[in-house]
Order: sequence, then C-alpha cells, then structure tokens
Amino acid sequence: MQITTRNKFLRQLGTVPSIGWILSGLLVLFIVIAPHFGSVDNFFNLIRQGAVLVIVASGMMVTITSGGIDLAVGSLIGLAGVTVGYTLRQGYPWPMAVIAGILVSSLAGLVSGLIIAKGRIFPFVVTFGMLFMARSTSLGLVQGGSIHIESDPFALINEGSFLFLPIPFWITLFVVLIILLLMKRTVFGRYIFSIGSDPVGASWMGINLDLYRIIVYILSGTLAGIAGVVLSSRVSTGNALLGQGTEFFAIAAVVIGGTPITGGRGSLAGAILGALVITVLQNGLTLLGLSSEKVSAIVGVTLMLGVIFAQSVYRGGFRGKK
Amino acid sequence: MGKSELISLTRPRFTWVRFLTAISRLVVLFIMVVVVSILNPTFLTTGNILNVLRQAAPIFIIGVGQTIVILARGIDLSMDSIASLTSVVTATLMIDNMIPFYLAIPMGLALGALLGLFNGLIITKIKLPPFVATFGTWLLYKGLTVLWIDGRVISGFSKGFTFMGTGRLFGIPMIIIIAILVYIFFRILLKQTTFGRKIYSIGANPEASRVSGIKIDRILIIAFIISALMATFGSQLYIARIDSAKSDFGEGFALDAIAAALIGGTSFDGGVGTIEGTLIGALIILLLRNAMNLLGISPYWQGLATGITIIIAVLGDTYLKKIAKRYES
Repeated sequence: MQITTRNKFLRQLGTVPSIGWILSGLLVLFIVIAPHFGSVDNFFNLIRQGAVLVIVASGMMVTITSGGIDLAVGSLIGLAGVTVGYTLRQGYPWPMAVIAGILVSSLAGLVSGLIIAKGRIFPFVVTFGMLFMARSTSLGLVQGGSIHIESDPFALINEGSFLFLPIPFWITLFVVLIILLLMKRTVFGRYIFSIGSDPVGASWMGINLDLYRIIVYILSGTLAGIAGVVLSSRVSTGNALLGQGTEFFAIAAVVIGGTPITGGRGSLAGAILGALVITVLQNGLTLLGLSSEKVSAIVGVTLMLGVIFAQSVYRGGFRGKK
Repeated sequence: MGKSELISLTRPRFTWVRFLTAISRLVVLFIMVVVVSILNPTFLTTGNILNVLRQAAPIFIIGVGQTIVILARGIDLSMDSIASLTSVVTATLMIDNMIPFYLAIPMGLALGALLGLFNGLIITKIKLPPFVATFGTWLLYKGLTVLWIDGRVISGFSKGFTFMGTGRLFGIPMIIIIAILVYIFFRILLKQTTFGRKIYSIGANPEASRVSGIKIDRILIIAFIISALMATFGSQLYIARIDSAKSDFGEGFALDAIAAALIGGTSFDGGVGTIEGTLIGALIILLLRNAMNLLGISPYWQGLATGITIIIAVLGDTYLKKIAKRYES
C-alpha cells in the first residue's frame, strides 16, 4: 500500500496541503470581491450549506477507496427528504420520519451493494440505475410535485444551535469522526484499503469481499439519507429533485482532495476540504449575483477541469500502480 | 475486474450463450406483445404497430450509439446532455438564425461530433475511466445547455424539418425508414468492416488487441464520436416529432440507450452484443411503457421499471452464462 513517487512536486499537488491553499485563496478572494461573504451570518450559512456535501463526500471517499463508486447519492438525498415528508403527512411523529428517511436510503444502498457484490456487476452501472430508480420512486411517491414539511422540531435540525454552532455542524462532526475511526482504527478500514488496492489479493487473504462491499454501499446510502434529512430540513420540503448533481460534487470533492478515482488510497481530510472548496465556490458566486443555473454550470465546468487535472497528476505521480 | 477478463478470454466463439441470450430476448418480447394485446385489443392493428415502431425508433437510434461504446468496454453517460445541447443548438440555428434545416442538421451533428471527440480525448489521453469522464461531461454539457438557452422553449420548426419526425413516405412513417437505414448502416459497419471487428476485439480483449497492433485510442475515440452523433441525431428526430426543444429535454436518454443495449444482450464485459439485440431491447422498453400506460400507472414510475428491467436482464445473463457452461462441459 506504500506508494512511492518520483516527483515530490507532483506528490504535493492534489493532496491536503494544496487543496487547503486553494480553499484559503478562495476565501480571501470572495471576502474581497463578494458583498456580505465575510459576514457572520454568511459564515453560519456556509456551515449549513457545507454540511450536506461534507457528509456525502465522506461516504463517497470510503466508497471510492474501496474501488467502487456510488452515483445514486444525489437522488437518495431526494428520496430521504420525500420519505420524511411522506411519513410526516401520514401522521407519524418527526423522529420516526427522520429514521424512516435515513432507513429508506440505507435500504437502497443495501440493494445496490447486494447487486454489485452478488451479481458481479460494475458499481457505476448499478448505482447509475439506482440514481434513476430512486428518483422515479420519489417522483412516484409525491406524484411529481413536492411535499411541504410543516414541523417545527424538524426545522430545528437546520435552524437550531448548540454551543453557538448550528446543529448541522455537530451532525457533520459526528459523521466525520465515525468515519475517521472506522477507517483508521478498525479492521474495516484496513480491509477497505486493501480491497481497493488489490481485490484479488484481499480475497486470497480471506477477506469476505462481498460482505465489505455491501457494507460500503449501506454506509454510503445511510450518509446520503442523513444529508437528505439535513437538506430537507433546511428547505422545509421533501422534493424528488433535491440533491440532484450532489453525486458529482461529492466525487469531485473526493478526487480533488487527493483520492484517485481508481481507489486503494483515500484522504478523508482532503475530501472534506474539497467539499468546502465547492461550497465556498457556490456560495461566493451566488453572492456575486449569478443565477443558480449559471452557478452550477460554472462550478460544474471548474470541477470537471479540476478532476481532469487531479487525475492526470495521480497518473503521472504514482508509477507502478495503474 | 480480473475475473471477468479471464471469462471473456475463455469464452467460446459460438453458441449456447448466444443462442440462449437471443432466445430469451425473443421470448420476453413475445410475452410483452401478448400482455399488451390482452390489455389493449386494438394493439395488433397496422396503424398501432406503426405507431409503436415510430416511438421505438429514437430509442433504437441512441441505443445503437451506446451499444458500440459498450462493445468496446466503454459507456457514455453524457448522452442526455449531448442530446439536449445539440438539439437546442439545432433549434436555435433554425429559429433564431433562419438557417435552413438541411444545413442546421449537419451543423448540430458537427457539434455532437465535437462533444464526442472531447469525451474520447479525456478517456484515452487523461485515462479517466469512461463512466467518470462522461459523468463529468454530462454535467459540463448540461451547464453549457443552460448557459446557451436559459429556460426558453423553442418551437415552430419548418415543414421540412418536422417531416423527418411526423411525415410519411409511401405510407410508412419517415422516422421508421430512417431507423431502418441506421440499422443497415451499422449492421454493415459492425459485421463487414475492420472497424467493426476492431471494436469487438478491443471489447473482448484489450491487451491482445493492443499487442496485435490495433490503435485502441483511435478506435475508442471514434466509438465515442459515433455515440455522440447518434445521441444528436436521435434528439433531432425527437424534436422534429414533438416540434419543440428545451434545455432539459434529453433527460433519460442515456438510461434508455443503456437499457436498450443491455436488455438487448450487450455485455458490460465488452465484445458481446448485436444491433439486432438493441432493436429488441428498444421494443421491450417501449412495450413496457405502453403496458404501464394501459394499466394506468403514473409515468413517474417509469424510471423504476426501466431500472428493474435492466437489473433483471443483466442478472439473467449471468445466470444464462452458467447454464450455457453446463451444456458445454
């Protein structure tokens, strides 16, 4: 798993330090050119907006490290939100609705994982199919519209604060710590790295590949569900199209944060910083007065170029590993 | 997937696999036809059959593009956005710039070829896996579409253009004639030319193909250009039929195309699949939707139904391969 690089400069690029510099640079830039970007209100706003992407990107980092990918997370966010709205409308209390929303996403992750592991079908095919299946299910549940969520305690998930910081921050911190422990301190983490870098070797070592692959997609689905609950609480609606495109932002955050798309290696800190870069970019461009379609277009183009650049750095940088 | 490479290396040239795959598709298609004709007694009339074929034609045309890419072990997820962008550009050229349709169509196709070339270059030169590259360009091209048109709906095309989608020649809808021409062209391309052989060879065994002197990068780039061209052409036919174009109109194209290819028996391991299969795949998808409409199921559930059908088809193929092996040994 030790990878030696020939070029020290290339090794530095696309890893934590440089993505950290990009983030700092963007922060300074927007504080100077975007009105109100540096205000306290916007700081809390950034935390609330960033929470969703950081949570999803952390899960995506585990998936990509294991040599897989999950393209369904964006529509699982929508599905979780719709499920919360649907369950609340049936008259269940809000904690039940939250649990239902998260569980539905975990279940979708389980289905993806089972098909990937047992059917031996490429993860991107299965999860690309799941992307449309989950969205179709959400659209079918709400018949194309969206459900307004009228529940004050549910809205508190986004609006409330604890120790002066918004609750989404604490949820994100909790998720990140769990993943950090999983990846660094448990057998699970070790196995994920070895499955990602050499699946055949890992299976010879007696690692139950199928089991761990399934767990990875359940984890990814669950995190998308949590992100969906946070996001739907922010907009007080369950909407099937909520979260559309998040899968790409999450992949981009992971890849520009130092994890090669081919897996076997992963940086959680990089993924979080990558997610923050994207959030800052979106927030700053919006404050400059651009329409939301134009913001996503510009961010999409920038990230695509970023991913192309990062991936070519990994290719040039890591000889000896495909 | 080292294991699947091994399987494709040892896969026999003919027979039980192909035979079972083909038969299973025909059986499913037959069952669908029976189900739909029970639900709708007027289904088996000439007019209605022509209508079904007319609707299946665009799915078949984009499915052909996807089949060629999948045969070479690629995938093109950006078809949705290529379809949206090129059809929107074709439409604005005709309506805003008063360019006649016979010039606007090739201009749209040229743009499509360019988008496909970009896909191919990222995949072969930067070595991004095809699904990552085209997933990225999916968003990229979508963004470009929004910047180009910004929520407008364009309609009111000239008679000549809409004739492609709605007109008839000798009583046969024009769109079906075009689909038949596409079929003949690609049948010859895949079976009678070295390009076709190379596509199959790259899919079956990239390493051996490289060693035997096939320029893999060049063939792959051409495959992605073809796929983009088919997405463009399919979407042009589509806007000609419904006489309107807007920025999100291509949504679902890639899934339909992948579904047509996979349901038609094209394998993700590469090197296995036929145009005829894709035709059957497109028909199965359309009949499924027809049946759902007749049963009064909301179209919002279509994505779920398509997804489940793909999964059944692919899992079924894995199972068929096992059965076929038993026969052969």
